[in-house]
Amino acid sequence: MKMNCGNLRKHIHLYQPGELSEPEKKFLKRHLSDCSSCMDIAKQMGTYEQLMIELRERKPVLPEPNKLIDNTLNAIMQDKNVNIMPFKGIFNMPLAKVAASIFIIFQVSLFCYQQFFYKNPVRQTQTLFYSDDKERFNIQEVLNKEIAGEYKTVILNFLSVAGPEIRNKAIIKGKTLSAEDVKNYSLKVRQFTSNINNIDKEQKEELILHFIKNELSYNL
Amino acid sequence: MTESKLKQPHPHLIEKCIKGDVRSFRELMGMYQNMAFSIAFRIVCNEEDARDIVQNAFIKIWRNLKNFKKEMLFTTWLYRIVINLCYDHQKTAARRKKALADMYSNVYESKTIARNDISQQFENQDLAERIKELANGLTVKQKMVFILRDIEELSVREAAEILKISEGAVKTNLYLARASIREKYFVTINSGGYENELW
Repeated sequence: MKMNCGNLRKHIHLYQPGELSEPEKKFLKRHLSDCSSCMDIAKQMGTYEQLMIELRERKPVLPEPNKLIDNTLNAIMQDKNVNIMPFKGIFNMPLAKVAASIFIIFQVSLFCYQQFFYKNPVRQTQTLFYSDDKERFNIQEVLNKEIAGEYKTVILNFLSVAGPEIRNKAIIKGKTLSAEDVKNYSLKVRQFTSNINNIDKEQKEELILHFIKNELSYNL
Repeated sequence: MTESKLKQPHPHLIEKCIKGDVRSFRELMGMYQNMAFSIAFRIVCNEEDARDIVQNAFIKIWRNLKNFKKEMLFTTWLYRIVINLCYDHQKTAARRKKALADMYSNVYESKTIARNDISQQFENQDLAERIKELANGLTVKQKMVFILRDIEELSVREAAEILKISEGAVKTNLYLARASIREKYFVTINSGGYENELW
């Protein structure tokens, strides 16, 4: 072993592309031509490289790759800290965004209508009926006292959908809704509703509206 | 960013995964699970443990995709996660093995071998034994460098980036690993006719 062999041994082991510079390689080659012990190591490193090639070619086989994916995804799904939105990607599509916006606006409008208009028709009807002899009459008070829930709803609905013509007629005639009037309506409504119990919802609503307009409004 | 011969995923695929699209993540796993298994298996030399490491690596990736730095290669990031998990595994495995060895002496060895024979496929087992034999006596870092550079064929720079060490440290560990393997297994080999090929 020569004086500088110790320093060059590292270079011999690193004689691979990108591991030594060109001057280092040149210097090493020159040294190897003079030093047989270093040349032996270089030859062994050649055999080492052959072994590495063999190992690289032998790729480990992953058994049941799909099962590994499924298990991993299951573990991810069960992790409560992880936010999973599998269909979030579709909202990136412009058309889907528009459709989603329209749907949301429609739902909000429907909700507002049901909340503030449809379910509370009294707001519109309370002040419509009064006598011209200045005796004010609050229709809601009478309904609350005299009529059971389902008929009350029907009558309130009637009052809300009666339309301006009927309302004006009532006002012009100066007719007030007495408790007796409401009871009479209630009886008519009860008879009517007992006949339409088995009819489907849409048809029932249609019949109720027809009944309200043609039967109940007559009394007004 | 370090250049790599490894194929990188399309940025859109990563974006979709970040947004929580499981289908895209399945695709990503399909692309890289073999690569992840290969490196994990070559380090831990056990099929079952390598599978667990790959699974944990992808769970980690899913959780941390938001923090993935785009200036880094995805494969480098994946390698780093797998390597870190392997490193933890090696440390705990060594501790567990030592503790059990103290308690049961030779019984542990025979039980481990019996379990491995059943659970591992023949090919994988043979390869694992070969790597174990070669890497026996190396430190964990030397083993990592040896596998990344000589078996996975990554560049010195890539290995340095994955292991978060300097290129000089990679070369030093590589030299020590190669020297150790050569001394143990090739000193007696009388190789001939290789000189011209190498030089």
